Amino acid sequence: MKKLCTVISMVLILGLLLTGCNNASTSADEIANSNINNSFIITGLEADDIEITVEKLKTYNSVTKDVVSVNSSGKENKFQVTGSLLEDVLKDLGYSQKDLQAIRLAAGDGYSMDVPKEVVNTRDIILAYEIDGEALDEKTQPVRVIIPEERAMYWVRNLTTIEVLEAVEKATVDVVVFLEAATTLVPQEEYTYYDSVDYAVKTKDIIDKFASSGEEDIYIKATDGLEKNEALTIFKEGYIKITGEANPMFLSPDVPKGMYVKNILQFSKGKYGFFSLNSGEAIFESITVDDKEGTPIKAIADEIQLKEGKLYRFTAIDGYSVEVTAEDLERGIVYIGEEGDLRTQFEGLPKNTRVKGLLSIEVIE
Amino acid sequence: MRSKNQITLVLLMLVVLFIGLYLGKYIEASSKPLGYFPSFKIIGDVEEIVTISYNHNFPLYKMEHKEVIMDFISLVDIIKAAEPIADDFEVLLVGNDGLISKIDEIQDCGITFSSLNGWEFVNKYHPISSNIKMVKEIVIVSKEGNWEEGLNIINTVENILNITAGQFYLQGYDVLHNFEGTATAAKNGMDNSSTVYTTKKVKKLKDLIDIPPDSRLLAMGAKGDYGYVDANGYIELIGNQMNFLNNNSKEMIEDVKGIFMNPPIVSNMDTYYDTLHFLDKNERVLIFLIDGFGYHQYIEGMNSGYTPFLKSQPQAQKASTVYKPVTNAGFAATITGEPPSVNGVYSREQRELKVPSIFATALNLDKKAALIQGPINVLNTEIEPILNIDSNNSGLVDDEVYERTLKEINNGYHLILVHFKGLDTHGHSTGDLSRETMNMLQTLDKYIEDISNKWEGKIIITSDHGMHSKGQIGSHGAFIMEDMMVPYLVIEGGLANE
Repeated sequence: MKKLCTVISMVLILGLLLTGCNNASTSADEIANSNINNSFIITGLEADDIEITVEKLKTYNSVTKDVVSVNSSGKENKFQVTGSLLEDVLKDLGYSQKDLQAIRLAAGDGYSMDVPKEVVNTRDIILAYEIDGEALDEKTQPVRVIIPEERAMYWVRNLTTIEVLEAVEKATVDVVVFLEAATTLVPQEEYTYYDSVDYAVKTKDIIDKFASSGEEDIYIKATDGLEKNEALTIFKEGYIKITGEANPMFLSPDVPKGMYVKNILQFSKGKYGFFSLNSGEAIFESITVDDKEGTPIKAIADEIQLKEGKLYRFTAIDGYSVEVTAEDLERGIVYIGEEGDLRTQFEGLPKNTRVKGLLSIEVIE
Repeated sequence: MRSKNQITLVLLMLVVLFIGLYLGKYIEASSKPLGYFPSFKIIGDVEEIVTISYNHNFPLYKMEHKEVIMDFISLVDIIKAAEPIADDFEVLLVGNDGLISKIDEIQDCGITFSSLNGWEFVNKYHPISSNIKMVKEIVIVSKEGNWEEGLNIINTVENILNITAGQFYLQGYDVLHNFEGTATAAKNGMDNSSTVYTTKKVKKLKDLIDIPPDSRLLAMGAKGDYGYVDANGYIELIGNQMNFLNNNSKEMIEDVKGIFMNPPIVSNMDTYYDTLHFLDKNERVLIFLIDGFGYHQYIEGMNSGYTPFLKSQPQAQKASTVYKPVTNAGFAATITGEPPSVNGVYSREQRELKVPSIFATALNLDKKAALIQGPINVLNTEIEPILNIDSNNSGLVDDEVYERTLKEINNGYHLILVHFKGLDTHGHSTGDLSRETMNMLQTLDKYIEDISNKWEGKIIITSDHGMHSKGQIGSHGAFIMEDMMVPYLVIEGGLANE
């Protein structure tokens, strides 16, 4: 009887081994292949690689989204992912997805996926650290890329590297034109806004005179923080109202009211930026240089992301210009003179740097 | 001895059990055939896309085909399951080899499966050319006008084109190999890449209809997508719906229901912006949201003498509303200034707003606001609505809404929205331009006049959607000019109107 029990036990053990060995070996493989790294790197964005840990990732705004993956056979799988947006990571580094031409997502097992410009520029890219409320398994850690509107081939597990494939330039402008001055150099016309008859200039005139090259879309920012991008064709159909309520204001009888932008702080088209000093005065803290109070030029340059350089040219409406170094730029202000024109004042610089009727600031070196 | 045999038997059973468990991990359920088994779909003008595969539940009947008794599914049963959107339709039987047979009569049609011919039609009383083999899909094509289905293209004066998914298929389409992406696997020191495309059935919008140069095209989708599009974009057919794809195919209007050629600049969403402007100027605003009041009804009311008050005012502007032109969606767009894709209300099913309404904006400006409406709260907003019931059993509640508004008008409100429902009710039951509907409009004209005379401030008169006739009754919810065009009028209140 004892012998019989031993035989039965052996059969049971053999059976359990037979039924269970497949899973056991898989677990072993999983462990062997597991990636113990808790971070990935972004390469090609700056001179040095940038390491992003999952802990760092979790400090950005968390997004949770129900997504459906479509695999190569067309099969759909639904799940819920939680993670951070690549856009938030890039913004923290001073970039935007819109600045990128293309990226490559690489996984620990050698798989990589090229993400073209039209996807990088338009889609939310989620760096997920939770799926269906659970932490990622070892094969998927440290994060899984989720691009909700794209096929599963983009949803790279075990992300090790985000490689920026083409050199990017920070979205900077080469020249900033002051709206208050620019609008005196193009025709002004009466514009009826509700019960008020104000003055406005055609956006087409402004663009054609100061930013004619290129077909880039227009980025607009208002003093209340509103940001929007507008197609150049639509923008050029409109006006900038320069007097009366909420000026400067983008509007047009040919665009819906929902597209109007009140109290414009700045707008840009590629390398050309336009800045409203009146709006800037409302949100930037003024400083005093000598006996003049005005808006720091550095604040304007930072706001409009004026390209960093060594030398800047300040040009007046009458054509007068003067060059100022980057160091001096930080000691200057722009203010509105007694005659309503824009003027500069620099701490410790000669009188010839006091530009009357300032029109623009341009990086020249 | 006997006991030993029993133990051996038990041991044998255990071994068999474990081997069975082990092999069972690798052998699929016996009910599913081994290997690839083709399936096909019923698409086009149907409510439901039905997929027919090995595990279908359709009843079978036996019939001799090529001297063999085979199992068949009736085409009638398949099409019935897919729920055609029209009573009058034709059917395309599409084979994998590209052969298409179009048939009208389907009673005799059956489909069977064989390893030689895949899914194969055998249509006893049709020409043999209808016996499509290796069936890929069955397309239902409506033979009716389907302005309440499919894709409509309209302008401010007429409904120009209606096309359904099935009709789009029948007209013919281009095949677009849409780039999806390139993946690379680095193995054994080599990088092996694979570029993936998806095949799309498309037609350029400008190939579907003549579009004058410089036309502005506003597209709207079933789920509230809303945006201006390019004539060089594509209409894509997927199953029983169409999408609008931009040139780069990455931006789309999903399940596009309509394209408005040169829409009016004004929309009922202007209500939000105009109200905000007036409140900012410390002016009081009263909004009349007249449910189911199309621009054509506004014109008819004035031309036929039903609306002397409205006629005495400046002519209302033509304004667009949003898809779906139903109360919830139009109401939400009106009070948020945002399209359904942004405010979250795109049909009768949603009541919660994803963005602040004009009531929240008024409260932020320290203004007192009221929403006066019938017995049912259409949307949940930032204020408690003043609801009214039909206390005099007149069959309508607009008279109670009118009386209540007159009571509330001097209670210090800076913003009041009055929602009149009666015109919509009459429009549904008797038609958009019926005598009964026009009589209701006449009543509302008097209500509006009385209230306006007592309101010191701005007055906005607009609607959530229009109305069209459908036989002897009225309806709305389609992307047609009658439903999508509403009046928009801003006037001064007060004694100036008397």
